[in-house]
Amino acid sequence: MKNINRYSILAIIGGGLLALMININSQLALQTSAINASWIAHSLGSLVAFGLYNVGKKAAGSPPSPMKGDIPKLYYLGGLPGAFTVILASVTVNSVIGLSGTLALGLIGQLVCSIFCETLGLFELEKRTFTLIELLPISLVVFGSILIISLRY
Amino acid sequence: MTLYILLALLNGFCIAISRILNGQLASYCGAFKASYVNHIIGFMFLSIVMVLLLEPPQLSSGSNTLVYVGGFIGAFYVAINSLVMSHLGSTNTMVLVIGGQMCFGLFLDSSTNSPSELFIKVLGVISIVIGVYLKQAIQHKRARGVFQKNI
Repeated sequence: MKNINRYSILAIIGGGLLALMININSQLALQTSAINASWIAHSLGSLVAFGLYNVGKKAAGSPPSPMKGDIPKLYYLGGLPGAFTVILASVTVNSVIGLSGTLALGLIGQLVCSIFCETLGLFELEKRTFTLIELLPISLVVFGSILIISLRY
Repeated sequence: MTLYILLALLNGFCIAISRILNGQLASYCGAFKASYVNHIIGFMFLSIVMVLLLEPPQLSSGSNTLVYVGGFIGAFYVAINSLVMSHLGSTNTMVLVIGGQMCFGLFLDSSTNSPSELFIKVLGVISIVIGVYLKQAIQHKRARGVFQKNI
């Protein structure tokens, strides 16, 4: 139980760090440009990710029960939408909708997109049929986002 | 305003596709290598774009060096996420991360002035977190008994 609490706090801190990251990158974009901010964030991030990868490799060995076989080339391209993420967030955070609007609307986009991909079985995701009950979580997120953004008018 | 709303929604699409591809890659070679590949590919892509746009790299004009920390946080988050995920499972992790993100986002967003504004925003966050919880709970229920991939 103690452990679970510790990891719960870590997860909440992780989420807070994500919000901080988006805020910081947007400030960098304001001082330079959105593309430049994404480029700097990715170059510094690459260094840290490379370091963590090497540390992790030594500490844990190979990942637990990895999938075998050839990796589809498409899976290597997650960095492309990732690059756009920083650019788009920099534009919207510095706009009228601000950080909380960016986060809230981003969540709607994520939910809709992931349900869309799962329903069609894109990217070799396990195919799931879309049911009406899935509209419930989306409407709650949409409702919450409207509450947050409505104050901006 | 409408344009920015559309851009923010598009941003969510990008995040989802990036996470899905990254998750698939991680199921082959682990979260840390996948994160490294992700950053390098994004970096190379942006380098090409900047060359094509003839945009030279610039450093921050301000004196605050904290603006460079964003990239570090993104990479470290992968470590936190995979550690927490292995202990709490994907539903709990997702809900707690979103909760932390939205609450801290409100805190950072300096535009909130009056208590009544804050109240409405907090209500919005609560609604979002419940929504994310339900999404994950539904997903879990359906995936029970079936081989489940962590995305």
